[in-house]
Parts: sequence; C-alpha cells; structure tokens
Amino acid sequence: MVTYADRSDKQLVGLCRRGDERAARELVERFQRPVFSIVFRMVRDREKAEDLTQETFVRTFNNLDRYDRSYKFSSWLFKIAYNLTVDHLRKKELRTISIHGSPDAVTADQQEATSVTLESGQEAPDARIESLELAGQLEEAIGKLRAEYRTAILLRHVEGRAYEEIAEIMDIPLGTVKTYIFRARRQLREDLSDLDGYPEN
Amino acid sequence: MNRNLATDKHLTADELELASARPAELADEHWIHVGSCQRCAAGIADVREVSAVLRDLPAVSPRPGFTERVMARVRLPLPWHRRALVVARERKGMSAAAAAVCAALGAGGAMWAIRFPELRPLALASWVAGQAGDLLWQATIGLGRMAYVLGLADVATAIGADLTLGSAVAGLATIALVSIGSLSVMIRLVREGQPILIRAR
Repeated sequence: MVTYADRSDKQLVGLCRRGDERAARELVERFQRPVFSIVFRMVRDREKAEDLTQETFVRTFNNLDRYDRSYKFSSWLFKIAYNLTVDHLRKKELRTISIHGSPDAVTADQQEATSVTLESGQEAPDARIESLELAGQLEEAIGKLRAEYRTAILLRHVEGRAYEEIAEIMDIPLGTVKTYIFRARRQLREDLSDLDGYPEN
Repeated sequence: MNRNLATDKHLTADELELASARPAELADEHWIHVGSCQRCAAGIADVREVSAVLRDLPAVSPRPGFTERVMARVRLPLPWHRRALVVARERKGMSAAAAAVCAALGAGGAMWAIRFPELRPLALASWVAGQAGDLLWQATIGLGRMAYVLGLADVATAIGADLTLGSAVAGLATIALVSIGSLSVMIRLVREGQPILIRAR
C-alpha cells in the first residue's frame, strides 16, 4: 500500500487540491525543517522565523489554485518563504546577529523564547560546548553576509538546490546567482579562516 | 562539455564546484590547468571547505506542534462528498425534493424492469429520453402559462388560455435562465469547492 510518505510532492499537492488534509500534513512535515532553517538564518530570531515559516505554509496551501504544476513544489514554497522573509527584513533592519536570542529581547524570558536550540547530536560535554561555540561563530559569519548572498549560499550548500532553482526562487538571473554564491563563499572563507577549530587550507 | 582549455583560462563557478564535489568528473585538461594555477587551486579548496562547513551546520527545527499550528490556519477545498453534504444541509428543501425524485425514478425504473424483463438498455434509454422530452415540453407549457399569467392577463384567463407562441418563448427563456444559473452554481461548487477551516486534531 502506498503511504503518504511514499508519494511525490506533486501527488500530495494534487490530493491537497481535492481537500485531503493528511496530504497537507505530510507536506508540512516534509518541508518544515528546510524552510525554517533558511528563514531562521535569514532573520536570526526563532520566534519570528516560526511565524514566517508558518505564514509560508498557510499562504502556500490557501493559494494552491495558483500553483503552476510545471514548477517544483519546493521551489514555489521556498519562493514564498523568501519573499515573506525579504519583506520582513526590509521592514525591519536587523542591528545585531546572535544565536542567543533576538536583538529586541529585553528580558531573559524573551531571550529564551527567541533563541535557537542547535541540535548537535550525541557528543561529550566538552566537545559539545566546543562544537556549539564553533557553530555559533559559523552562524555569526553567515549572519554577516548580505541577505541575498546568505539565501543563495544556504539554498545551494545547505539545501542542495540547483542554480536554476535558486534563480527561480530568488527571481534573479542565473549569472547573478553564481556571482552571489561565489562572493558569499569567498567572504565566508575569509571570515572563517580566523576561527579556532576551522580547518586550515 | 569539455573544452580545449588554454592554461590562462580559469575554471568557471560550475567547474570549481564539480572539481570540489566530484573530482573524477572534471576533465583532465582542467586538472592540468589547476596544477599550474594558484587561483583555481585556491578556488577549489574554498568551495570544498565552505561546502563542508555549511553542510555540517547544526540542524534547526521549529518547536514541537508546528504542524498542528499550521494546520489550524490552513483552508483546503472540501472533498466532493463533504461538499455535497454541506450543500444538502444548507438547502434542505431542495435536497429532499431531489432525493424524492431520485427515489421515485429508482422505484419506477425497478418496477419497469420487473414488468418488462426483456427490455434492452437501448430501448430503455430511448424510453427515458422520450419521457424526459415529454416532461420538458410539459414544463415549458406550464412555465409559459405562468409567464403569461404574470405578465399579460388575469389568472382565470391565463389558466384556461391556450399555449401561444409568446408564452412558449417566455417559458423556454425561463428554463434556459434557470438551467444556466444552476449549472454555473454547480460548476463553481465543484471547481472551487467551499473553503473550510481544518481544525487541529
């Protein structure tokens, strides 16, 4: 028997269009982590990232009739997420970058609510702290990139998207995507070369 | 894809990524160039290191219950059987009449089939078409009279009046209007569906 998890994205979208709630759930389960991951690394605020990710899915499902089946569903989803996030960033210039919580968080509770929990697997306490520190520095370095560079490089190297798909998602020419990724990589390389624990060239 | 590479031609962004991710697939000429070009060699190292670092970024996920929170806000089209139930609930009189007509037709059909077991499907179809034509004609006459009553004369004269060309045309126009209206409502219901709020389970 074919389960929902076995079905392709397009098959699930077809079922959603006929009102199948379980198909919608499966799509949410399938894409919540990648979408949240990109959005979080764009906005640097867990609570805001969750709101934006949630809004992305709601808009996606409530506008399924506008979805063009010739595009990949994931491209369309990421495009909605990207547009929402860019709109948010335009409205609100982010001042500082931290995995320890939103720059607007004043109280300890607010900081805890907006900070992110990094999932670093089963490691010894020392190794875990070191790994978290390095991860934090990496996040800081990614946060220093221009928003467009950040999106492009994360889609390419974290989500493994093709250049053409990134161009579609960000609505920019293919050549521009390549330039963004090249520059982002160079800047990251420069920023990361100073870090402890970062592999030497 | 392979081009005759002169030693002064640097690797493109795609070739740098290929050299980093799948070195065996990069043509030998390119590797000869890389052997004598510090810039391309450094480029490959950059791509390799930055990709590795980004690939190892800690996973970030939304808080538990994310799917439920999304589904509480998602509106999917109703499946056809639930849509039919909604229509039936909203238009109880019409549904009861439709059900009665269906039941009468079913019972009539069953009795007919019992009485004339030798009846062939084609003959039955022909009989049904004939009955439907008669019904339509009777309805036309009835509606024509009604139009005549409403528009032209007093009730007593109208009911006793013979069918005229004017009343027939008015009747047909009324039938056409009602049919087009009903059809368009049905098409809209079937195509667009009725949005519902899917509640979190």
